[in-house]
Amino acid sequence: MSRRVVLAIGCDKYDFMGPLDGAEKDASRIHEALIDPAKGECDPTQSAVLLSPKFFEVQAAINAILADPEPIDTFTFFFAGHGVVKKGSFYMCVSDSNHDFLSANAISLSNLFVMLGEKAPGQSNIIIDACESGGLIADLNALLKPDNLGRAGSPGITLVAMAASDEGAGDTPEGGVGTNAVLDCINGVTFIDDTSAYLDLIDIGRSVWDRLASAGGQNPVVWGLNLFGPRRFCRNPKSTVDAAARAGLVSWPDAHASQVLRDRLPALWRIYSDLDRDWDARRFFDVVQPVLSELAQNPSQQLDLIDRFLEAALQKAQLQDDAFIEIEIAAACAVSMLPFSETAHSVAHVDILLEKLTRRLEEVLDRLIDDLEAEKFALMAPGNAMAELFYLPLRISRVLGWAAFAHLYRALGPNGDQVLPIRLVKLAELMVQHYHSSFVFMSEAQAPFVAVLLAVAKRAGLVDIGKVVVGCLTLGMVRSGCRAASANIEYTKVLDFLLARATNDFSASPGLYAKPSEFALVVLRGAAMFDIEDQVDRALHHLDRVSTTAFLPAHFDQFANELIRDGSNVNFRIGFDAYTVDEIERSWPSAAVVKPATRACFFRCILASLLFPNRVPWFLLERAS
Amino acid sequence: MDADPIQTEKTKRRHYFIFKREGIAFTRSMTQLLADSHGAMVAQHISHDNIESYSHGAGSYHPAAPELGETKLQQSSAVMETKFEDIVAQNLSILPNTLTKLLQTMERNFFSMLYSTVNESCEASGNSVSAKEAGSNAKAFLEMLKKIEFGVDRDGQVSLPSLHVSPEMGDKMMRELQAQPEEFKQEVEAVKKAKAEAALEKELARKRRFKGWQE
Repeated sequence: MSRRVVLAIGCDKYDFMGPLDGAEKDASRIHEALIDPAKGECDPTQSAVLLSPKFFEVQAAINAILADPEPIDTFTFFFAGHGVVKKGSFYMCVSDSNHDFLSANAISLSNLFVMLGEKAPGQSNIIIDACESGGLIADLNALLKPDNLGRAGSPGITLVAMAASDEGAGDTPEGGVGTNAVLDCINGVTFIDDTSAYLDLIDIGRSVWDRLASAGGQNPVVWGLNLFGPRRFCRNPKSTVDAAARAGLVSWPDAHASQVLRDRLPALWRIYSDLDRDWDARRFFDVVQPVLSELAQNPSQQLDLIDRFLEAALQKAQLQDDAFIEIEIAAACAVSMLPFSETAHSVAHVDILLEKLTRRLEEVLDRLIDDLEAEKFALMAPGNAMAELFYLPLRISRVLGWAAFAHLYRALGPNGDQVLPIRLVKLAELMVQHYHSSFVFMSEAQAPFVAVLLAVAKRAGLVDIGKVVVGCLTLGMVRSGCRAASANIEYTKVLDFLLARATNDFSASPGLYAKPSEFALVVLRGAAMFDIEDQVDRALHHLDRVSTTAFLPAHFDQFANELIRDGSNVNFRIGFDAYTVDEIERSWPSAAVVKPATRACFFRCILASLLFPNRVPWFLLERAS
Repeated sequence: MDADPIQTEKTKRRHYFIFKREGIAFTRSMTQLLADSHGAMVAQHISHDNIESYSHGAGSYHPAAPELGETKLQQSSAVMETKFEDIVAQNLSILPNTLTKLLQTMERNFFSMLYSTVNESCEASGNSVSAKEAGSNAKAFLEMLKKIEFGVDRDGQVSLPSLHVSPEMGDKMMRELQAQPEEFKQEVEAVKKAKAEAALEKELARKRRFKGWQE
């Protein structure tokens, strides 16, 4: 867990020195900003602000923070008050500090450095708004030791002193000039950049210098030592998702990748910028594929592109109402590597991506379960009520298909045999309870989701679920005359389809339903999987002359393409080729069903069918013995 | 979705008031019009019950009926050429003329494919009749009638075969058939009746194969 702590000291009242006005206020303001979870993210229970403290109080506070055995990620030390350079050392004076013996009663920076060197927080930020504070350079010897610096993991230190060693530090009724400048950066009044999520004290220091030096009279100094990794001083109030995404897509260390991305950035950016209101997996795939092809000689750059886009896209997609958009984006990123040869790197990468996707998918499904338990109509989409006659059946299939995928991923992972399909069962129960009548044979686009669901239900021993699904869909098939909308039906034709289906008259629009039907074959083979062939056989005469089909690809590198050229359509015409489910099963060409060679390809292909539902992962449906 | 082509500063060509969105919509309308017209033409000759559409692949086969063989998809294409001069001259007639030419090309392709496919099937199965060997078109017609099987549609009605001939041959055949003696005509009717009865019997036997079917 990240431990971020601030110690802010402001001293106005002095026993032996002239009083100041504003130092306490500066310390309080800095402390308040840095313990704000939206700004500094420092732990308020472990941070402290000391107002005109005595020396022993400061020692006790430093001790309390640094002596804690829990490692500190970021330690920020702020001081506002009298500062003095004496005998080559810089001292920060507290209320009982005496100029005659500063080494005994003032905060010695070199001493602080020794403590930081020993305790070694990941990053230390030191801000001193005091006269002559630039004199701290003299104490840097205490830091610059090989034992403290240079090794991997050794601490980083950033120092900002508001005045040069021979200057005073100005103040205003609002507070110290330097402190005001720092707070304006933290609070977003001063713009530094909009691409990073966090601000670095070096960048703030540079901004402060710009401001103070141009105003004249004060020249802050900034040092950064041993700066490994990200240095998060505070959140960047000007950071936007879009700016961060732009930075991620534009800046590439690899020259070739940089050139490729520069040329393709407009198209990629269009996909990204539409994400808060529109998502089209096919459009994404068509834009990303050429880019990935150009980076094919450098697989690590391909994966880097996917990671950068995904990170930015997921944030942007959170602005959408549809909880599954993020899932589809992650799936599209995984699928986009399908045409390319696998490397050890890409295999490891897809595992990370799948884990991320599945975790998020499980969160979405849990939320959906809660929503359905609270409100039975939770699955209905807002607005467009009549359209739900068509889209609700598709939505039910999609939700169950994705739930099945989530379970399958877990079941095929470590300790998979101990994974229980709790979510899938719960969702299926809720669907049966609330949406039984809407689980109908409506569109070919349901086919891959139902195929995944049936395969997973079979594998997990969920026989009742399988029987209910097949039973409902068989009934729907019979009632509709096996007329499911084509998977590629234009949105503008859905109304025509529903009107034709309502009257069972497709004479005016015969092309709107799928012929042959792949969905029908999924349902019929499902009957064999769950041993209800006899019931289905008795209804098959109602489907006399219906053509069913299965597209079997010759290989999988095209499986995400809009048109998969290599492969065969395997047809069964009911009432001519076959009269029973068993006849279909016995002639099912198992040898022609190519299986994905690797686990990565296996999951990518399933995801491709869930993203582009005019193809079915038939390799999941083993022939019923 | 149209992808932007990659252009460098050297190759970049400038355009002015492209009307890109509108142009794409226009082309889509034209394509849809062609598709609808072509579909209507095909439907005049082939029942929609016998038309299938596939999303992927280059062919199909029936594993439970291997005797049907494998079908490979064939490509039908037509080229549309538009001269800038005609556009500039506002020659609107190029629009219907081009559409008509495209449709005619597609129609020729369609019939070429249809008849070559039927021919191949007939040659393979031996279902062919020679008018020369039969002695006359009328006799060839009768021989053909004896060789073919009638079908039964989904409504249980016997569907008679359709004859595809050129208009001239059609007229000639009709005259020849009408000029035949009464015995010939009675034989034709008898063959038709027997074929129809055989078709209905076969259909009944076929339906009886369904477990849940009741007569």
